[in-house]
Amino acid sequence: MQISITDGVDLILIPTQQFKTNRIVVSFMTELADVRSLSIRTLLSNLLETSSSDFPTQSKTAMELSKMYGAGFGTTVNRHGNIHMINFVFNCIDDKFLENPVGLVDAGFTFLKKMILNPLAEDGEFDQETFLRQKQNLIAYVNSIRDNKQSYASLKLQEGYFNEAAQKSPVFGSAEELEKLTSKDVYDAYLEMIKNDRIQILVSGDIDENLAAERSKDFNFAERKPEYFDLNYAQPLKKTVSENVEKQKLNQSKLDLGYRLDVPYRSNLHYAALIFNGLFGGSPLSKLFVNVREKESLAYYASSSFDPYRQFLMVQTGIQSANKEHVIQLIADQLKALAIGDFEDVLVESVKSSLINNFESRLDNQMTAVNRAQNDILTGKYVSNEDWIRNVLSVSKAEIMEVASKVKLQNIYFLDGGN
Amino acid sequence: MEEINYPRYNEVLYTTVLANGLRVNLLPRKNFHKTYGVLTTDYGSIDNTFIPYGKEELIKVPDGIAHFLEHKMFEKQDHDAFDLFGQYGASSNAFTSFTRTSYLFSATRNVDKCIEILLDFVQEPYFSEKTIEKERGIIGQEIKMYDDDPSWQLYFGIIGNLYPEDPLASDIAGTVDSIAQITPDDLYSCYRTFYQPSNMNLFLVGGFNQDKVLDLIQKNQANKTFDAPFEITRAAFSTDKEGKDVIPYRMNELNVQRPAAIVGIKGLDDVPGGRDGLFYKLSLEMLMYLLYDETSEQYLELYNKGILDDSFSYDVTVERGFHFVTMSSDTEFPQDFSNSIIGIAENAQKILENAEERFELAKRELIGRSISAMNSLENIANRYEGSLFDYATIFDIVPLLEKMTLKDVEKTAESFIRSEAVSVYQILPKGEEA
Repeated sequence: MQISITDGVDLILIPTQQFKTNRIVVSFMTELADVRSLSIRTLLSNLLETSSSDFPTQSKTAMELSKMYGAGFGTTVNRHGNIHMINFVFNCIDDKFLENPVGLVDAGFTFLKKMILNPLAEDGEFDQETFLRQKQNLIAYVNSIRDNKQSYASLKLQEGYFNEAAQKSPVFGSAEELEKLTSKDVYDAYLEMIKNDRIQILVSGDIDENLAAERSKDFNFAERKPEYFDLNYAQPLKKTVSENVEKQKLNQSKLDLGYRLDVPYRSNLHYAALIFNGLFGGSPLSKLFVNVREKESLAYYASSSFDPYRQFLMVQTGIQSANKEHVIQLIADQLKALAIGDFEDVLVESVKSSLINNFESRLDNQMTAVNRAQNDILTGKYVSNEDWIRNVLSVSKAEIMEVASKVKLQNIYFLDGGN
Repeated sequence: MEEINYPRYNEVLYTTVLANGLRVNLLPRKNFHKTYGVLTTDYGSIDNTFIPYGKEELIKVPDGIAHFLEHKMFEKQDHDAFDLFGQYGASSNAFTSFTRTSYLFSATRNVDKCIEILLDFVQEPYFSEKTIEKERGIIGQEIKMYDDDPSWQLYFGIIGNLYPEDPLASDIAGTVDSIAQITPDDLYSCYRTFYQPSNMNLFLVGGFNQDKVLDLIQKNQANKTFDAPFEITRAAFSTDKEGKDVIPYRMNELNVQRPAAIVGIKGLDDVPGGRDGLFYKLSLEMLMYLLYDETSEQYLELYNKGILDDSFSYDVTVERGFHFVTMSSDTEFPQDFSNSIIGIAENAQKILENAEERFELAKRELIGRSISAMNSLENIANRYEGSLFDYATIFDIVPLLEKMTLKDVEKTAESFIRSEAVSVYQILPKGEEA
C-alpha cells in the first residue's frame, strides 16, 4: 500500500506477520552524476550512519540501538542502473515478544529522524574531527579492496567495460576523489539530498498504519519533483574486444570477461535472459560450473551474473595462469552451445525450478521482500508473484537461444598471478 | 514425537530419536515458503585420530579428510547428488568445521523429495580412486585461494599459536600434500566410524507438516540397513591444560595493503556440560561484548586514536573439547592494537566492577539479537549444537540471558582470562619493517 506524504515523498506499507522483526527503510534517490558525487555520497552515508548531533559518536549511536533491544541501523549506497540510492535501514524486534512492549517502531522513527535530520554539523559543514576520521577510514577501505582479488578483478573489468565515468567507477567512488573532499563539500551534498532527492519510506512488519503515516509526516520533508528517474542504462556496442592484463604474484589468477546483453529490464526477453544466465554460469547446474569447474577441473570458481539495469553480463573465474587461453576458448564454446540450442530441456526445467525456488525463498526474508517491493515501484513494472512464476515457466528454448545470440563479448581483464 | 512448546514465540519443536539412533528435529513454520534441512554428523577436521569402526587400535588419517569426505559424499557412481537437488530447483551445500560436518538443502517445492535425497546421498557413500584424484585438483584450488586470503591466514595464524600441537591448527581443508595421501579406504574408515545414525541429527525447519514429514523419514530409514552401533573413541586432545604450549607471538609478511593483527585467548578453564555449557558460552559472549563492543569506552578510545577501525571484530568459539576467543582488526599500528586489546583483557575485573548499567543494556542487546535471529530458518537449524548443549535450540537462549547476572560474567572473566593463554599474530605488508 502506497501513501503520498507530499509530492516526491511516499510511504510504502508492507504489512506481514511472518517475521519476528519490523523494518523501516528511508531511501534517497537521485540520478547518477560522476565519480565525485559517488564518492561524496558514500562518505555522506558513512557520516550519517555513525554520528548525529544527538549521538555524536559511534558508541553513543550503538548504545541508543542497544536500548531498543539490539535494534539494527545502517546506511547503504547502491546503484540501480542510472539511479543512485542512499538507504537508511532500521530493524527492531517486534516488541510483542518482550515481557513489556516498549513501542519500538515509534522509537525507531524518532531515532531515524535524529540520524537523518540532525547531523553532527555546524556552520555549514560536518564536524571536522568526525569528518576526517570517516574520510580516512573510507579511503583505507577503498584501498583495501585490492586485497580481495576476486572483487578487485571484477571492478577492473567494469572499469574497462563501461564508457561513462559514473558507471566505470565502483559504487563507492575513488580514493583520488575522496582525498579532495572537504567537509563543506559533503555538507552541501547533504543539503541537496534532503531538499531534492526522491524519497521513499518503506515499513514492513506487523505495524500500525496510522502510526507509520503520522511518523512519516513528522520528518517534514518538503515537496519535490514527484517523478522517478529512468533506471535503464545502455551504451552502444563496441566493435572490438579490449583486453587488460595486470601482473601480481598470486597463487591463483583471475580471468573476467564482460559482455553486452541488450535485454532491458522486464522487456519481452527479460525472463529468458534470467534463464539464459542460469544456464550459462549463474547456477551450479550451469555450463560454466559443470564444464569449466567440474569436468575439466580448470577453475575453483567460474560463474556469470547479469545486471539487467545496465545490460551487462559478467563472467568471473579463478584459474591457473597457464590455462588462460584454454579457459577463454571453453567459455566461448559454452556460449555458442547455448546460442545453437545445444542444451537439454531437462536442464532448462531445472534452472526454471531453481529461479522460482530462489524467488519464493526471498519472500521469506524481510530485507529482500522489502527490496522487491521497492523495485516494483521504481521500475513502475509491478509483477505479481503468480505472474512472475508464470512468466518464468513459459520461456521457450527459442527465446533462450535468441538471448544467447545477443551476447557480445566486449572486454577481458586478466589478473595474472604467474602460476 | 516429543513436543516442545515455546508459547512466547508461538513456536513448537517436534523431536524424536529413531530406532537406528538418528535424532530428528522438526520445526514447522506455516507462513514460510521455504524449508531448510540440515543433516549433521558430530565429526570435523580435528577428529583425525580415532579407533575405526570394528577395530581396536587408534589410527591417524591425513589432515583435511573430513572436508574431503564432505566433498566426495556428493559424487556417486553414476550421478551427483548436487544435480539431484538441482533438478527439483532446490539448492544444496555442505560445510565442515572443526567438530561438525553438515549437509543441507533449501527448497520451496518438492520438499519431500529433497528430504529423501539428503538422507540417501549422505547414507550411501561411494568412493573410488578415480573420483578422489579429480577432487584433489578442486580442493587444491580451494586451499590456494585461502592461501591468498589475509583474513583466513590471520585466523589460522592465531589458532596455530594457541594450539600448536593440535589438529585444530591445521587448515580444515588440509594441505596439498596431506590430501594427496587420502585413499578410498581412509574415507570408508572415517565414514563407517562417524556417519553412524547415532552420531548424527537431522534438523528441518520451514513450511511443512510435521506428521507427514516424520512418516516419510521413518519409512526412508526403515528401508535401509545400518551397521550395529559402535562406540566412538577419539584421541585425547593434545593441548596442554596449563597453556605452556601457547606461542605468544608470530608474524607473517604477505602481499597486502594494510597490516592486520589478531589477539587470541585460549580457554584453559573447564566448560560445564549441558545447558550450563550454553550458559557459560553466553556469559563469555557477554564478557566480550562488555569489553570490546563498539558501545564500550575501551573501543571508542582505540577507535578515536585510529588504532582500530570498522574492520574490528571479535569472535567466541565454544566447541567440543576446546574454546577460545579472538579479536582482530586491520590496523596501521599492529603493535599498539595488540597491546591495547591485551590490556583491556587484563583489566577486565576493573571494567566489570561498575558496569551494572552497561550490563543491563548489553542484556537487552543480546536478547534482541536472539529474537531477530529467529527470523532465519538457517539460523534456527545451524545453531543447533546437539548433545554439546543438551539439545538446546535458539528458543532456549533468551531465558538464559534473562537470568544472567553481572556476577556470572565476573566469574567467567576470572576463570577464562589468564595471561599465559594470550597470544598475538600479525600480518604485515611485504617489505615493511615490523
